[in-house]
Amino acid sequence: MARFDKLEFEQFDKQHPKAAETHRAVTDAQTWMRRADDFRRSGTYEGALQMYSRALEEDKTLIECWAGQVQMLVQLEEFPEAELWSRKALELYPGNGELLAARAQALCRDKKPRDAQATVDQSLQQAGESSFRWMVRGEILLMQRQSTHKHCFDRAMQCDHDWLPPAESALIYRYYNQPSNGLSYARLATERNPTVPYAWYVVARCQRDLGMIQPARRSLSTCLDLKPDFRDAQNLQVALDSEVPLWRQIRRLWSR
Amino acid sequence: MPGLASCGRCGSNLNAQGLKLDVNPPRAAKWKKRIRRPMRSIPNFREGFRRFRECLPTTLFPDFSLPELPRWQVFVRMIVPGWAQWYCGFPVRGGIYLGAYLFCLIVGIFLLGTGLGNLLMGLAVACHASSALDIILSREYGIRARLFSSMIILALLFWGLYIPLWTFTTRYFQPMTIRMSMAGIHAGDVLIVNPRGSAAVGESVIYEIPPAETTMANAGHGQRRYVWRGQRVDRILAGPGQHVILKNGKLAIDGKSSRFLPLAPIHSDWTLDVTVGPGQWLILPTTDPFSAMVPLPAVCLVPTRSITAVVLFRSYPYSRFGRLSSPVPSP
Repeated sequence: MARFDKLEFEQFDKQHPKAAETHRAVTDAQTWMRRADDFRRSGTYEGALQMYSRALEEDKTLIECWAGQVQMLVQLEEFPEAELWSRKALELYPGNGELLAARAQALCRDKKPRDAQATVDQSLQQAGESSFRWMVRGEILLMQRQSTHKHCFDRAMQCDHDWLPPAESALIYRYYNQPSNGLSYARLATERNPTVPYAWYVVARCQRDLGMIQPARRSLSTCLDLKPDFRDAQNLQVALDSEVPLWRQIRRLWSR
Repeated sequence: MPGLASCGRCGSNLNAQGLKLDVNPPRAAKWKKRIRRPMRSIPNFREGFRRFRECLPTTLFPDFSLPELPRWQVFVRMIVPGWAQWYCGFPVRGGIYLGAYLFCLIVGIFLLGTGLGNLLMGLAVACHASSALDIILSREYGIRARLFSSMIILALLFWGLYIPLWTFTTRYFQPMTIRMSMAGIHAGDVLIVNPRGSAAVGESVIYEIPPAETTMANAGHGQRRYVWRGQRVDRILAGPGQHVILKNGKLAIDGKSSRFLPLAPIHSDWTLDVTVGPGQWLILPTTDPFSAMVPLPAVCLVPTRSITAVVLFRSYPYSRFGRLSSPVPSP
């Protein structure tokens, strides 16, 4: 392997200390970003937002973090702030498709579908393809009650075979009071990775919205089997236990 | 290239790492989020209105450019609202005009004589005028041509269609709104009358009561003077040549009990023994508010010329719709 003999690791750091420092900073930023992703995948959006900010403190060129911040603000239901932040990020990276899509989502949730539509169209015209762009497009169509939203979400699922896009699609459907559609995507998320507690939690939320109490309990128990200290799942279980069916309430009255 | 501040392709800042930026996003306070959450369910009226304003013309009224059709064919079809639009290939547009016109017209006919009915009839005419103007304004482009054509068409519509139609219709059918309540007829009731109808025994009619005066009580303070004049509504009970006897509230025509009764009960203290003269009709003014004091027979013998219209039916309110009925006599 003569061609690898001339690779310089130690020597490169010694000869170019500034470049090595930049390399370490990038590594740290990647770590923060990974942590942010972990938080996001566990449904802890507040923590994910903080991690994205830390990553950006290390490296301001991480566009994924800027977009992630906007997405987390949207998930935390801070839509005007998300829109403002996306504008700031777009000042730095004006033609970035992910940032444009994030802005479109913020605008859509802020009930500005016209601007959102224009922004997401602009986003899709940019180079590359991502599931998030298609999801945002689907969300805007869903908000406008157009029947083609399903195609966009399906396209998003084709772009990325991870479990996160279907889970986030389910959350979008839940936001627009369509838990039945959301449930199909949440189930897809669990099919793609059955070991993720957050995906089971999303399934349980959708089932609860649909009044499927027993299936929701089963999904929650799976979720808690995978992660017993999942606080949101525990809270949901308590809430489910407090929801006594009508016939049982009547029986209770009778038994008194 | 070294030294560039931004990407030449996408415009991204190439010196972002060196910029002093706050990377912590703005956050919403808890109370703000709490307020925003219920506000989300409130529909965005401005957005909704904007969408409605944008969608309505494009869906219902697509861009309107008339095909080159013979002018007179379009012109003739203006007689029916929406027909010209239909002929020009805009059936939805024509349907909207025709639907609005028919709705206003039909409901207006049912409420004829009432304020709302008059308003709806006016709107129906306005719909027709609008449908005609719609065609003209999309055909003519100069302001003078538009004004001139509009005036001509509107004048033709009004003078050529609606005014003759109204004049002809009101010869035989005329709504009459009652202003003052009488016995059996309430203020606000609408009677459909025929001004050209011929008087006959048993018909309810609008007539001018023969002028008469009655002075009650002694001269000086407390003296009351009643004057009868103006229009009344009641039924014709006897015709020329018939002998009428009224006693104890019983009415006999030519020695037989009368088939017809007035619109309100007859006062029991009225007495009458009279033969109806030629060109006269016997109408007892029972619906008059001061009927108890009327001087008989001065006011009950009505000349034919004083009968202004024959009442056909009561059109409003619907609870009393139909011919004017007499009270059932007590046994």
